[in-house]
Amino acid sequence: MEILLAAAIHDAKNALNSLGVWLDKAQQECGGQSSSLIQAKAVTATISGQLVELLALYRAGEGNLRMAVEDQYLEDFLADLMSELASTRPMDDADGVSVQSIATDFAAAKDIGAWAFDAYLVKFVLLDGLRNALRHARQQIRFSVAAEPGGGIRFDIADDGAGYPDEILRAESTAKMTPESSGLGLSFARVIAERHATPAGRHGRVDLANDGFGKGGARLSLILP
Amino acid sequence: MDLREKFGLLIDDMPSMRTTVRMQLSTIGLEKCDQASTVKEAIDKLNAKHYDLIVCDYNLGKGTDGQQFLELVRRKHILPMTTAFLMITGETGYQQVSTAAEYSPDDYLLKPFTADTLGTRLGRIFDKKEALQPVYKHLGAKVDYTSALAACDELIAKKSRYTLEVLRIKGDLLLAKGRATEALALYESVLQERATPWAEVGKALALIAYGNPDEARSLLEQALVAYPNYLAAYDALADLLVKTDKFAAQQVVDQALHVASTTQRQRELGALALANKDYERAEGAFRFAVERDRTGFFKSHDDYAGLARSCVEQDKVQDALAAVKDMATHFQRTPELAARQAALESQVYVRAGDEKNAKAALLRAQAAQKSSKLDINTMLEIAQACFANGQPDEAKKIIEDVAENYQEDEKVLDSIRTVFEVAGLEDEGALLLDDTKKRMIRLNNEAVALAKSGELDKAIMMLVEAADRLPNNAQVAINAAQAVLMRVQTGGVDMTQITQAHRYITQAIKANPLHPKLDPVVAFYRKLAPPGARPLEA
Repeated sequence: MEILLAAAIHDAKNALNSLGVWLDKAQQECGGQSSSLIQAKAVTATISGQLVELLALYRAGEGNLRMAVEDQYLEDFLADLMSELASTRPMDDADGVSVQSIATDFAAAKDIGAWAFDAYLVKFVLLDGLRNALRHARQQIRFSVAAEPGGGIRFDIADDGAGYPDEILRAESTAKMTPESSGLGLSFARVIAERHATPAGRHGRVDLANDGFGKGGARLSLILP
Repeated sequence: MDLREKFGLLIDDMPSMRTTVRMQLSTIGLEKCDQASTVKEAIDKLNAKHYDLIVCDYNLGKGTDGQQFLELVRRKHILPMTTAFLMITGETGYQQVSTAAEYSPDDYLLKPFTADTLGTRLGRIFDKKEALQPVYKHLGAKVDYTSALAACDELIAKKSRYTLEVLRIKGDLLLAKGRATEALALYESVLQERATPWAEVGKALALIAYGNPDEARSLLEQALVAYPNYLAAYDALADLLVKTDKFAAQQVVDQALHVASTTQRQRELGALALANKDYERAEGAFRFAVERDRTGFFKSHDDYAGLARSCVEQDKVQDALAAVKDMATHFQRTPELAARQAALESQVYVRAGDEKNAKAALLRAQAAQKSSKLDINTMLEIAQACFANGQPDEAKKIIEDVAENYQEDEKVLDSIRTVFEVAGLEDEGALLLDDTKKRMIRLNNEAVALAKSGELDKAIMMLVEAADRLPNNAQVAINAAQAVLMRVQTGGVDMTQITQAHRYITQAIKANPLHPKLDPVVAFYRKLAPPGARPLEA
């Protein structure tokens, strides 16, 4: 049964990959201007990301989540992340005009240089966080990286939306279902953060707060040791 | 990044994938690209021509994969460090590649990907290759440690984005040269800035070299808690434990196999399980090594020998004989193969109580030994067969020769111990190794004493005789060269003697390029050699 589950998730993910390829093709065929196709691609990317999260959580539960912790050049990592986000970003309204802007502050990335983490899994944590911010922000999102005092690095994603509901903020360790969210993304983020550790016993973590833009917007911070 | 002048080699067993990637490569400007569908084809192409870039799919079919290929070509120096290696993988392969220990690709790319992504990644790889070129160019088949380390220091002083990468290479070089204190300092300073798995393992290796195995062990165990998939940490820990606790070592290799099951690790597990008399586990491991690779490219005679032995020990005579016979279908028919098969067969027959066939097979093995030069493992296999057939003196003669030749190679000495152990003669083995060691020390001491008392020519004669007899003993060759050079120093330049010294130093470099006494004798040679003498490539 367990193997079946993992295999099914895997198959679904492969099917989504080829769906993505077909959507790209369709996009080319209609001159790259179809907003419906852009929306469809965004949905595909979101589901694909959720499947990655599901599979990782499942494997973590089974005790065989494999992590590849390696030095990553932060600038390259962030460039890849932003281009993946851009190519799968949904439109905000029917006119296809994006009203939200993501302000990035990656100045620290150059100073930090490389940092050791699992680029594949962390990329999905941050993509999910950014997509979530895009869903809830009114106009602005800020995405930044910084060195964490006392060792480690931190990624911050803040928006100017309504902030996290109280039950999510209070339920620090267990993500709760809300009408808008299954809590999958947050559970995944917490597991991935926790699994990043140092021999000295420091672990990564996820912090949530409603101080985005100083006005009660949501802020998600991923701290890696 | 201009890719038009680059030569690429694309390796994938699936024609449709080759076409797709080939088109993507040409979209980003890389037009000059050869293709290979099998490991053999790829190696032939690599041997014939220089490539700037290899793009290789992880799954190569027939039980072979891109990681095995990468390890093989890097280990055999068919693929220089200056050539970029990009691995293409699905998600499953990604796990294997991303946790690979010793040899990792420059980058890996998850399918599906766009031409743009491919272009970005290749641009980054070539950028790094170019930045590190001053170091890489000294890391060929013959590593020029002095120049490579100097190049590292220069790059570190310049402070580029690749500093961390250079530090990593420098650490490896220092460890290889046995400069433990400096290596330790390097890793500690890296770890002060950041937590990263390679520096943890490097620190542990430095501690081992420094003579502190206990601290190294606990460091590695701690590292594995934080990085449970970091194979280099398992490898380092297993290497450390092998010397003191083979049961613990087997456990560690077993854990590593759960992270990534590779032929090389199955082989290691098999060897340890044999040593631990865990024959069932050994059989499973060797069977994996033998059966997984259906091309015959990545397995060795040793795998079949291990399989045969683990079967014999469980009294599965037919399985053992089948394994020995099977060797002939997978390897080229060489005297080495014939000797190995015969020696193994002989041991199986002894076990089966078939004295006549056992003797006949042993005679065949011994005949091959007299007519050709065989590798160490085959020689030791013949020795093992001699023991099994009740010919201990013959066995010891072979072993003494190997032991004198490989006096400083712990791995070979350990294999010798195993041969005695299997024969049930552990104490005799220890005695023989001890005697050999003492004999070699005495030889060197006597020569030094002779030289000091003014009888340099006598010393030279002794050492030259030994060096010619023991081409793989670096210490003896170094001493021979040293003595000859002392003669040049006192007696004036004599080109015959200079050439002789050159030959022995070259012999020592070939036997052990990292011998600690090598640098002084090389310097001595360079001081005395007149212009026009052959330079040393050390």
